[in-house]
Amino acid sequence: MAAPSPVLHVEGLVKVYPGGTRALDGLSFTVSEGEVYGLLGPNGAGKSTTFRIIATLLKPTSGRVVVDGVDVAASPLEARKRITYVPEEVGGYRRLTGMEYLRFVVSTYLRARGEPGRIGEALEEAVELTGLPREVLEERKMSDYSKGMKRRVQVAWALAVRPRLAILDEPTSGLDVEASYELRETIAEYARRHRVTVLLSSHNMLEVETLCTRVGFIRSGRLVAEGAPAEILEETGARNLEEAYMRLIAGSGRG
Amino acid sequence: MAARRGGPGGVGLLRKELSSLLREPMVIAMIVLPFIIYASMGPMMGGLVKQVSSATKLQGVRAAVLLCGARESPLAALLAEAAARSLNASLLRGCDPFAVLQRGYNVAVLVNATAPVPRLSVYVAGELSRLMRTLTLPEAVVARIQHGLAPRSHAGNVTASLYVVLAGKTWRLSDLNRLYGAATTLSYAVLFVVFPAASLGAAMLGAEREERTLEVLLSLPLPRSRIALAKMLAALVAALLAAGSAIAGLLYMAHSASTASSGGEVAAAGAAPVTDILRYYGPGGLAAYAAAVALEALFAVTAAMLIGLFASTIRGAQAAASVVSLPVLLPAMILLVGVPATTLFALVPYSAATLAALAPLTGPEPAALALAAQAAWTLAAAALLVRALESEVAVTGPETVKRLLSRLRGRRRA
Repeated sequence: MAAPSPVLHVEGLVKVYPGGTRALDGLSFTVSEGEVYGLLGPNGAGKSTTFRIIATLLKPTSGRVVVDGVDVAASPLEARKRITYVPEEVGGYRRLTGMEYLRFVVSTYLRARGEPGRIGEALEEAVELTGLPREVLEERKMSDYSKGMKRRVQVAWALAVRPRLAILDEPTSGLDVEASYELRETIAEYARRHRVTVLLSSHNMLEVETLCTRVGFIRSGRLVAEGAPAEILEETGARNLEEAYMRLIAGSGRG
Repeated sequence: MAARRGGPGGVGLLRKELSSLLREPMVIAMIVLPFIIYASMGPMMGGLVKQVSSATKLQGVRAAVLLCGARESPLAALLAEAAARSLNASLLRGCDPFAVLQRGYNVAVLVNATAPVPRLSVYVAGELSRLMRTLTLPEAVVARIQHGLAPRSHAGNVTASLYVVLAGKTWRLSDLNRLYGAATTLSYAVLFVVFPAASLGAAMLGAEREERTLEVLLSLPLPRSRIALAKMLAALVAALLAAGSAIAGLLYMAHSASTASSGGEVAAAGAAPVTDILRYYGPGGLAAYAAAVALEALFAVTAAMLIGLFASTIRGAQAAASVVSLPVLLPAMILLVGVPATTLFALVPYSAATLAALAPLTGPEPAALALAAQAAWTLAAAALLVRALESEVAVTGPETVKRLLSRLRGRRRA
């Protein structure tokens, strides 16, 4: 069987911020179609910087990112048609209802991709993915939404527009156990069903173990280990990913 | 020991409140800006007083009294001699005040003896750059003549027609005063648009950052130029609605005052700005003024959005945006003194509406130049905004400012 084609190819990524902080130091990894790839590491390791570069919000100092064959630095608008990005700090327009927000984002994507006929269907799918009652989405402004509700809305559109790559930065951060579980299930089920490629980060190792098909450990802007969760456990001799994380990241000293 | 009211706990609380307030950019702006505004008006007010004072004292006036048809009226001859004496002016024979003004005199007083009652007409060579002096001089000339005829009485019985020759046109002083009033009203009306425009512009990106929606917006498959344009137009529409509401309210207030009064005077005063504006500005003039206002507002929106990119909160952005909206006061304040003679004034941002308001006086050229310049400023600001949105500054703006500030603090400590 032919190897799945790479949807994301990150090569020698270096990012030095104007103040001199070296956030990324030659990061390279590849994510194949249909994979749920978890980028793991401590705060400040460079995960969010990586996501922002892939989402065309930041420019790399050097290195290259290719999404679905498109170089994101050379053709940012083309790349953005293929990517959805939900940052760690979840937000929402205070004066808009959840439905108005979903309609805006979903139609923006599908029009840009030349698929306006699919807007209605994708919107319905997004509504379903939120798991929120329709009247809540239609009648209540997002200022009334809890953090979990906002997160569900964001993740819902990010999947429902069927991107080539969905980037979810700590998708369950700050959510209670039940909300985290439901959101995790939604992501896993949708990615499996529609072969959507997902790149995410998380500090919850149980979540990573159940959700990700492959993980990469990042420290001081460099990848220190990579593989399927089972492979990582085997390589490190750890009983679970948390232990593997401690050995790979914390055990080797934070950068 | 029980803490007394206003004791240490109270002081601590007050210190905490003051520390929070005085570090808030909006509060700092509220404290600093009034001083800057009023202090910057100083030179303008000084210039205004100086012009009025020099006109009242007839300083720098070279006057001529013209006697027209003197043979018919010895009374007119006496009047002309007395006027010339009071003004320390040359007494000439003739009927053409314009020819006299062209010979270098700046005041020509025509005593016309051909009418049954000798009639005085005062012609002043006006200066656009010294509008206040120009508007004050004709009445100062008449007052001096009256004083010469009846030194002990301030209310002489000489009546006169007053004219100002300005930029090749002859104006009745009363007309010129009304036009000046209309131009000043139009010049100040821009403030109703530009202030909300800047505030809204600053909030457009500040709100996205505060509501944590900016990064998602910038990651959508939309050209950044379209994001900028949509925000600029939305803020402009809201600013125009705000200005429309303010102006409609003021007109309603004037209308209420006029209907409450029994006489016609207040009614006339209430309607004066509108009727004068309609009288002195044709459709073309009003269209040029509206274009100037829209361009200035769009410039304020765009410049404020640029500033808003570097602020982490809406209030911070709005405080900083006052930097782009306050200069709009300058042309309106300068108009108190006169129209600067230099064409450089037309090239400065925010001069377009003032010059469009002055077009009946100055002719259309300065307003056209200012409109073109304002359009160029607005386009440049929009291009800069799109460039900034396309760069990382859109995401890292507030951190960039924080880093610069901490570097400055570090240098100061060192």
